[in-house]
Amino acid sequence: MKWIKMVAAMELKKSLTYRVHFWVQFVGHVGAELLVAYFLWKAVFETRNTTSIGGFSLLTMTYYYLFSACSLRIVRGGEGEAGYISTDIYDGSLTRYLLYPLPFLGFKYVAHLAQQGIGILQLLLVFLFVSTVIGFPNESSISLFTLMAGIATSLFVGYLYYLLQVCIEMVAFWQDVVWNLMAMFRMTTIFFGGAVLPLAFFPDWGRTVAHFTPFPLLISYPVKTFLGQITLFEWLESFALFIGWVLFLTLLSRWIWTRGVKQYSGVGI
Amino acid sequence: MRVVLRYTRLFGYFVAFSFSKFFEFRFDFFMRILMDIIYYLIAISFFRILFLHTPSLGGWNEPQMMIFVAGYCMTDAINMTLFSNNLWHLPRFINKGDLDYYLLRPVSSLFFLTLRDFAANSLINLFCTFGILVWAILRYPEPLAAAKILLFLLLIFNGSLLFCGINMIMTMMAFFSHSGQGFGFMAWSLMRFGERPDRIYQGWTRRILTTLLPFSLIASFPTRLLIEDLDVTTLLHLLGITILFFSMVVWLWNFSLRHYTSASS
Repeated sequence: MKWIKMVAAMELKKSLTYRVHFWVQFVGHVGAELLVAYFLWKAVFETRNTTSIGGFSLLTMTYYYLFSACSLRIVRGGEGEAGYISTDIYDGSLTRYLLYPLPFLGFKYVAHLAQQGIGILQLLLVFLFVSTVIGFPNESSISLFTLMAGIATSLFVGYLYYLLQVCIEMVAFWQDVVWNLMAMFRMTTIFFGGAVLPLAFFPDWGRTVAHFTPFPLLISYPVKTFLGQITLFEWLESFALFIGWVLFLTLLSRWIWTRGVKQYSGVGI
Repeated sequence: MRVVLRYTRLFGYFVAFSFSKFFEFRFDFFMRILMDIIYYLIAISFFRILFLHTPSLGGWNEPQMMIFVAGYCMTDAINMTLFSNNLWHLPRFINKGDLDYYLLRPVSSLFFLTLRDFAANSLINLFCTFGILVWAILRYPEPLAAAKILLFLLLIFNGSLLFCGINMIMTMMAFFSHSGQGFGFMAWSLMRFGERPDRIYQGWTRRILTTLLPFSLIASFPTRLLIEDLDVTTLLHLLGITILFFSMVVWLWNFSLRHYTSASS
């Protein structure tokens, strides 16, 4: 189990090598998301001349986008090592992992977990800054408990994201290019997960489509937990769905891995 | 004139080479087309869903917003076709010293490095965005003058150049930061500002988005000039900022090359 600590430390060190780049990227991304969402919804609230739309005040909506941007960062785990599976297959560096005395997919998941740790730190810093500047909405259910529950939910939901990512990345065993599949996956996740618009605003057909995918579990589920907008029953229901998807994707990823390794030529393409 | 012809011929070779390359990787070719179509569908769906909850946004109704969406999808398609691949690889060339090979060629290095990798698949997406624009114009309740539509198309191309300029300036930071992607990713994150109508922004944010980081000028201003009365000040503002940004790109490129130290850069 010593390797887990070593892999996590290595991943953290790698991520923080270009510190300025790292923080500028994060602040730029989250800052842009928050500002755009704030101005967009401010315009909508002003046009409607109301203080609440779909159960959201402007301040609650701002927090919605804050938590969706930050929890997505935790869930994705920065897409570090796990994002390089296709590269490992293409340039043949997968060979060395096959020789290491540790499981390849386990190695990648530990790296993903380390990245999730950085995501939690970033969320806490942004939350501290934003709550100090704009305060909390009056109708808010946000508390230390929901914050901790949201972080825990984002952490375990990250495993589902990791499995989805791994299944797509391993298509590289058969195809020359997979980055575009990942880009499509990211866009679909963001839209049907509720990062662009809360799912409550979707028409019925949109919510139905989203319900049959794992995407709401990746964003809407942790965000609702952060905001305290989910009952214990709903939370457990989503958790059961999460377990179902994890079981299915674990089997699928193992099946792809077994077949893929047999296909792997070991010299790159 | 001979110089222009020479560069046009060279660009023609880039396009021909790109088509042969993309047809060799057919799966990638079609997947990239599908990827951008998903992006356009999400953009359209976002505003269609939003307009279920509000009658207008930033002073525009839904048909007007669809023209705006078509506009920014077109700027994205033009960028993906002409510039994106090139700017994506630029920081790697700088950090690995591969830039040397481009600096030695008897053509403008800036021209070569920004237009070398033409994305043939994105050209098909450009036609798709043109289709979205035709759809948006056809469902627009009022007639739009052909001259204004032509001006809109020219300004959308201008918007793509402007975005390329902003992206280029941020990517060129790789000369100094030595990071894997420069700050080019920032341009894509900040482009989110340009994907919303400019009138929703207020105060300093609005001032910044129309001057220092002119994302609102990319698609929002051209749309205003198409669906509202032609305002010469807006037009001059748009063209002035584009010229200023391109002068900055050329200056910064020459300045950066003076600080480029090849493989150890």
